[in-house]
Amino acid sequence: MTTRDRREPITHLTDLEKMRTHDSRRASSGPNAHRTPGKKARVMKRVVESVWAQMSCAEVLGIMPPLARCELRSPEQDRALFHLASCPACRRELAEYVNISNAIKSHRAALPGLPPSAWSNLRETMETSRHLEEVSHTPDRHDLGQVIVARAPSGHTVTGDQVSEHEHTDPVLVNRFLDAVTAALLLGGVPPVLAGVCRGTLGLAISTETV
Amino acid sequence: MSGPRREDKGLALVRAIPNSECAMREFFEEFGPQIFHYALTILGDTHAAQEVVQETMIGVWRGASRFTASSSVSTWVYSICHNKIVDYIRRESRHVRRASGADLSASAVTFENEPCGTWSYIDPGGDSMEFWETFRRLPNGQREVILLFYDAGFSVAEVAEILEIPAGTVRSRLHAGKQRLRVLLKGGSL
Ligand SMILES: [Zn+2]
Repeated sequence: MTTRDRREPITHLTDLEKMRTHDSRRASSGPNAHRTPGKKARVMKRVVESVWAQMSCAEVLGIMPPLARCELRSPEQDRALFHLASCPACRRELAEYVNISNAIKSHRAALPGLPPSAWSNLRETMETSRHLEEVSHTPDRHDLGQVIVARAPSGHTVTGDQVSEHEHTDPVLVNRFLDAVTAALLLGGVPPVLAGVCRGTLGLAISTETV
Repeated sequence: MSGPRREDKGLALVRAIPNSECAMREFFEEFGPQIFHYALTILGDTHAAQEVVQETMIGVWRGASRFTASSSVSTWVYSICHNKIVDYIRRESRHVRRASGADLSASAVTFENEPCGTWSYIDPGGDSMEFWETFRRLPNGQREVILLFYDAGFSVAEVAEILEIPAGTVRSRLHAGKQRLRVLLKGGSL
């Protein structure tokens, strides 16, 4: 396990600073510190730098979120850290990323959450949707431009008021609407959840009346 | 957000959803709360956000069997959510324009450039109230990239994929959004 294998978020820059000072101490206090580096070492250094230096500031910005959470894998993580060690601008960006990210998260915590009824509403919509797929009854159909009317044998008239663009010209959606309407009539009215499906999925606000 | 383990779990759930309501429920519990907050901070309305979550989850439920894993599960869910938010805003704006007798053929809603959200059902109180009031004044396009990048934790490339815009546009919106936030918060430390 090296220092860089840890999977803890970088919450401040001390980690990086430590790594840098550790690296430079090691470089200057080793037994060979007083010698000029050999040819092999110089070549190695050039290779390493040319590989790592390839990461640009824009690239580092691009991966800032996983970098701040230490979720990058090697060699990407190493290349990013190498870039950070020598680029004050990106270090500022990272610090700012952590600040903004924490600020948004803490203010978000003050917002209301998803209500507990959300799952049962979804489940009901899924049920209704399943039911619609099983319905094969076909009422009379009239497309009156932006208002779509379906009349079922029971004498109910259902009006779909177009609330989205284009939908009334799409025969697939019109058919789905008419299926929804048919199901509503079979169910004896338009339950709120179906009205929600029509509005959300089909872009239609529906209303019924008995003729 | 896009942690590798979470991604594996998400993918396993998506694979199971066509045949399992339990998987759908677990998926809902995993992703529902965060896309609710995403929609809420864009739309500023809890009812609207609930509607968007519902539609997004129906989209997941219907689309799960066709999910090819060419993108990550997280980016897939957020891109459905983004589209539902755009649909919602277009629908509402069309409704309002019709109610006011305005010309419906007039230019479509420029979602990216308009500040939006009535903020009618939210009162987080104190500091947070001020923060979200300020945030609300940014154009939609900037708010979205800021939330996806700083809060949901997507990379620039992933944000570009979710919003179907070039990475360069994501970077410039991030930059502009940050500048405006700073100005709006009067140089405060955010
Ligand atoms: Zn840099």
